[in-house]
Amino acid sequence: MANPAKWVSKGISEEALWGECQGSGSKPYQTQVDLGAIAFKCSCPSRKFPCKHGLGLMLLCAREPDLFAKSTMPAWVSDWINKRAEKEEKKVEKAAEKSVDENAQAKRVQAREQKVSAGIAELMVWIKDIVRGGILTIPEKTPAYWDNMARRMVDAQASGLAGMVRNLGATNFWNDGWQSGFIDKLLQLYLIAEGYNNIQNIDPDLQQDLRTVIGFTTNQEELRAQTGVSDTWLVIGKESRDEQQLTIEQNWLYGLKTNSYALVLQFTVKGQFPPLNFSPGMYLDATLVYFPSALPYRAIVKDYNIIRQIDNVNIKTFTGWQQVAGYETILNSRLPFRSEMPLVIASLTPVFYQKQWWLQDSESCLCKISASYTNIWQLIAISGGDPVNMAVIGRENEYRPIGVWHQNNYKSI
Amino acid sequence: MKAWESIINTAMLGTDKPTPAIADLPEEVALIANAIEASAGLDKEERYLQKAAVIYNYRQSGFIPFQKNDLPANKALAETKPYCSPEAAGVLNAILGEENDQLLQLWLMQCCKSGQLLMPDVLPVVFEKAQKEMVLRKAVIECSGNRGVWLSKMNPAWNWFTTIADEELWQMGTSAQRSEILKSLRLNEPAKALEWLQQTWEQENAAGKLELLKAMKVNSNANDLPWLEGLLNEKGQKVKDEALALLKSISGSSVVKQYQQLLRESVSLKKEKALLGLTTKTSIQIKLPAVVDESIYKSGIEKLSGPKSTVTDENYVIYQLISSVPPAFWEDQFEATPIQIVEYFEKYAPAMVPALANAVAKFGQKNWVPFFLGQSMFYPDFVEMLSGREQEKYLLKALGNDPQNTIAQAIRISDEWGTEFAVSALLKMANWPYEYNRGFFTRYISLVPVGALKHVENITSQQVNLQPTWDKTRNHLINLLNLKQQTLKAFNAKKL
Repeated sequence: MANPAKWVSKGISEEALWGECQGSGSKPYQTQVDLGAIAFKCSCPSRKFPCKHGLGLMLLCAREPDLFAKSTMPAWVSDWINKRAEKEEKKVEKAAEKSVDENAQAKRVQAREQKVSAGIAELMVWIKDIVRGGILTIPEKTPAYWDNMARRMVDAQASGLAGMVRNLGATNFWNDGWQSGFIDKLLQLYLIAEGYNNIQNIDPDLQQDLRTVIGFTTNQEELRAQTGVSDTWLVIGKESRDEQQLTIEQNWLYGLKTNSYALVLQFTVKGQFPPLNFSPGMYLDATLVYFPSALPYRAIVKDYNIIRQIDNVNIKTFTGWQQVAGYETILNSRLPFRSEMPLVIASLTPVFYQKQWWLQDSESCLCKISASYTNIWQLIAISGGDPVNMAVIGRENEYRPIGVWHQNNYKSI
Repeated sequence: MKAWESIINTAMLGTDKPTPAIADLPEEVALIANAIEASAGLDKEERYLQKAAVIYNYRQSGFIPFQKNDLPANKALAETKPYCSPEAAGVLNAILGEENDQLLQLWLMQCCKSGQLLMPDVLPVVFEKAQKEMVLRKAVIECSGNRGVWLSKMNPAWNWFTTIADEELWQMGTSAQRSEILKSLRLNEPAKALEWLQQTWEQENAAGKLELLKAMKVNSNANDLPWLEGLLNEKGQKVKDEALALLKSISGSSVVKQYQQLLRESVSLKKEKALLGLTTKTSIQIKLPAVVDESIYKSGIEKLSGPKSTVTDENYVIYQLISSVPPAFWEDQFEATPIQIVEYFEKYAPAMVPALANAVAKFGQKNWVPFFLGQSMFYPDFVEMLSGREQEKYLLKALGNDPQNTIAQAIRISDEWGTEFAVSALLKMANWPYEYNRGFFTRYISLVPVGALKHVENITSQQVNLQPTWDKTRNHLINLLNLKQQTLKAFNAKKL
């Protein structure tokens, strides 16, 4: 389908991509793609969604964009696009019209907070039991040990804590030195639990961090109403993982003008398309709104436009590991239970020393490349022993590369 | 960090054990730890957890990168050849995504031909492919440039980059490597290969001897005879059998001479005057002598044709003998030219024509092949002895009568098919979509020419119920052919 010969007509505009594909019938299939929030429509009888025509059209456009002349949408495309826009507007209006029973809402919030507090009290007892007995026998615990506590946290409406408990149980106990990683995670759990017990006494932004990590949701519509940070963003990394029926997609973005980092999370039901379709190396002119936090990092995309290519990108990179260490100290002081964050560092060279791979900066300082990093040979091949600017994720002295600049292009690795 | 180690030690054994002493803690942490100790109402677990949390944060914030100034520089040399174009790199990525080694080989060959290099980021994945597929290695080494050589030295699995001298590999290599070396040497310097093998023969074990003898099939010739004849006295039966098989393929060997002698006595061209001397009646007389040396039956000639065979035992023996002697033998025996000999057999001993064809294929007598092409019978062995248009014509002729066998033979050809044959074969294949499936085209895409692409879309199965299956296979084939076309286009190859 990604063959130009298949398409009787085709075109593109800011909003949509369309084409008429000659199928087995007398009339060509009318295929259209909404480029705003990726969606497909096709007049073919296929039960598969999106159908091969929609995917083929997108693939062709990606491979040979010159074949698609910018033009006004034909009626059959504009009708569909307008309908979608109307529908979206109605949805927003409907949401705005929804009357809120403030009393009931307050009661619900109070009930939930009580449940969470009770759950955290139970979690504290569990954590204390672990440290009282010692962690020597922890590897012998059955999965039920972790699962029971995770379920308690779900019952207490603290899904974030439930995930952290599961993650604690998922520690690789076969690894040498598992104890340090395990205690790291246990202490993070403790810090959050203890922080929540003292939530009234701490900074409002840090309160939000605690609530978010415990599992309280933030109203994204309210977030979207805020001004946000407008910048040209480079997608520096993307990773997906499946959790039960959900696919969780992490997109790491770097703002070229503001020199800031952002994490955009997308949750989709397995097999469905996420609303935003980013790929590493892509540049966006976008407005992002950060979730309230002592360390703004997670964000939503308010609006965006994909930019095809940027020449002479000026990125304010970290100069080396010393500077990174100083920056991380600041981050830790602001959010002691923070997760790993990306960093763009200049002139790192992969080197082999003491039977493992390291990243060496221009001052000859070294940090380990995470043992779980699988693309080490690709990284070395790109570097050729020369320093390269690199985006990494990690903390302290262990990092995994997520992308490098090679021949003026950003490449995900 | 000592304080953190102490936290872990306490964690291992439980909080009943002593927690880090305040004196052991860094000054900044000691202040907070004192405050924690002084707090009333905290149990020992909570005290431990609070102190641990502070030390955890201190550890993270106080991280000092490790400095090592004297690591030796290890850089790849600058490239002297250009990298391939972004278009070519894009096609390569698509080929790697398709996991098609045939197309990968084509891409690499084109890259080598154009004197370009692989982009560095794909080197590891291409090395991994070549690790499994030895046939790719030569091209991979050539297309990898200095970066590839440098990279290969870091991973022992890629040591095939370092080319070891043939003689050293012959002395030290594995049996598979030695067999390969012998084969390649036989192609260019058969006498030298024989000399190498003779030097080490006594040290080889039976299995090694057998493998190496198989390699000697390449370019076997009369110079091998004295040594091979000597191998008939070897201890191992399998080695003896292999040596005999080799001898049977070389004209002038004792066993072939023995067969020729027997044929001389058994088959003759008889010309008699007829119609009062006005015409000549020609016939081929076939009769084994009354006494046949039994040793020929021990050399692999079957004595009996089998209970269900319609061929007599005598004719069966003669058939095998004709198959086993070089066709040139008949030029002396019948005092005739090759074309006349084929005509005589066709006319007076048609049952023996396939035996003669077998002999032509066995002894590689290409000059005899054209005299068989007009016959209705298809000789699969002749396909590889023909080339270009002649080969295509022969296959096209056979395709109509026996499509599946013809295709089975055609896939053994190393060169790409002609467009006419490829389209005709695909028309037949559309009727057997389960046999000629995605896997089939993945394996043999190198044989299907890009020129067939414009015809493939119109090829349909004659059976409606098979059409959906063929559609899927056809789409796969179109995809592969598109990649092939893009590869050639990316390197500006003329063959489009």
